[in-house]
Amino acid sequence: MLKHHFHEKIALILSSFILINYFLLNFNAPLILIKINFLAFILFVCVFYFKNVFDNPFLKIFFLVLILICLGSPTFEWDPRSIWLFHAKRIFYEGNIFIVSDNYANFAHNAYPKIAPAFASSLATLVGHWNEIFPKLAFLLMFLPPLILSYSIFKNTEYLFFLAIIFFTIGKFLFSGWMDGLVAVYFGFSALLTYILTVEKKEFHKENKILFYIAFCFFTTLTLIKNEGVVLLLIIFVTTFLLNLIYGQLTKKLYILFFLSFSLLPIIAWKLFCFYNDIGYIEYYNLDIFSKLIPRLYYLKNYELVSYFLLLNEKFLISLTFFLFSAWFSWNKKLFTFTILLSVMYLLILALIFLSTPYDLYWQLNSAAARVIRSVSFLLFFLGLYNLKNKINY
Amino acid sequence: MKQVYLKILDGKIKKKQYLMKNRKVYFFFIALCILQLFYLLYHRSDFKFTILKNSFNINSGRAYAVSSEVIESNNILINNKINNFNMSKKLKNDTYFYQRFVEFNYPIRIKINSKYIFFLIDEEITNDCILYKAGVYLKIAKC
Repeated sequence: MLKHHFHEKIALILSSFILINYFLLNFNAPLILIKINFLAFILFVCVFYFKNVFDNPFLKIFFLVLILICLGSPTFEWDPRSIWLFHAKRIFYEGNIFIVSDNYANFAHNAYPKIAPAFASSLATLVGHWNEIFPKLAFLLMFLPPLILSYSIFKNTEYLFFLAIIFFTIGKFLFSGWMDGLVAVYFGFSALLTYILTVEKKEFHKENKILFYIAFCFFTTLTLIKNEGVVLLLIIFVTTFLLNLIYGQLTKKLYILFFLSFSLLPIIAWKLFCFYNDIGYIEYYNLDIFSKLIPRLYYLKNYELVSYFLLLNEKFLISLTFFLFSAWFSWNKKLFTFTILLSVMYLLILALIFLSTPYDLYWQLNSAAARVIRSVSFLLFFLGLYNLKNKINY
Repeated sequence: MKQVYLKILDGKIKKKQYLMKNRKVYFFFIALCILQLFYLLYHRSDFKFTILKNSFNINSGRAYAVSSEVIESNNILINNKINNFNMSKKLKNDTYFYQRFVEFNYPIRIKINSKYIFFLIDEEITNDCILYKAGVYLKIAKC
């Protein structure tokens, strides 16, 4: 099994269990099914750990350390408590994700996607009670599918380099209950899988269909983690479309993009449910957007402020330097264009979102910019390392 | 370890070692990962060994996660079997108290027309209410 895509298979299975858990809670499934699903997830984590124990030792050891940090630290920050773990607690007590239709506690942004809270609630269901510490362990476990998959891409020193990148860019967001780390990692992997499937290799999907299924699972998960995930996935689709158009491969690759776009269906269904039940309506009818955006566009100081927080972020600058070095060291025009297009599009969208905030611009940037820029930083590091890896001897 | 025998200079074979195949680089990255984990543990988390020991206990970590007032509100509600509550204007206006009272006490819900209203211990109870229970930081009135 080891020789035949062991890590890809484990990543696919674990990712599927996370999605199945979400759908079980959509359909008000009996608790026993939710428990069995979570136990099966843990079983396959054990398979990863104990089938050939000495294979991929660093991820196994470092992930155990992260589990201990996660279980030894309290959750007191705003978003993890007020939004993500509160959603999880509600799902745990009510048994399905549609409980938010009562619009209770509007501050919790009830319309936000629910895959991570659903997974945390299932861990609590398995344990049998709720507490302030262990449910966020489920958020950490959601990092496992991409981290395991990465071992089929990087080996030995490269894998350690990859782990160093994870610790540097994601940092405390691995275990503190925030979603931004999950968004960054799933975005990076979704981008790479799209690149491999639709840009890099001509008929890759036929050689390795498992990557196609993993991409589908990761795309769905990305959109169901946070609203940003939908924007990021759409950017991936647009970039891939443009790149294939430029390279004249669109007719060959369009059907892959078409099938992968079905991964958007669960989030569309969720947003339609929220829309027709007036859940989090403020997010849909924020009429302040243009009245805030347009006056801000006329002041140079606002651009300076946005650039300062987004472009002068130390993680972003280091990752950009690394990516440019990687491109200089091993030139790959397609990968370079793909990465830069993705990054620029996301940065422009971020700038527009920040400029249209109904809150004070400085406050909004100060509280959110360093979190959301992580997705671009991780992408630049990750694809930079992938580019280096393709230069066989370095 | 992959090595390439390149050329012979002064009778010695010079070996070229690729960067990512170099044992020193390998150990450098192990050390880097370990250092980063220590940094995360000591500077980016509020790790407490006592929390880890009891991480699956039902009341674990409460004192580290929320303020004493919030914990007391929960104790009052549970000890007196109250299944909904409201908060005084002063408490509601404090965003921290409002959000933590609501999420920490769930599934006990906040309700606008609840008979039970929380006040801070030094706050005056409104005329149409009578003191029901009092704690160190909070009191609850029946209205």
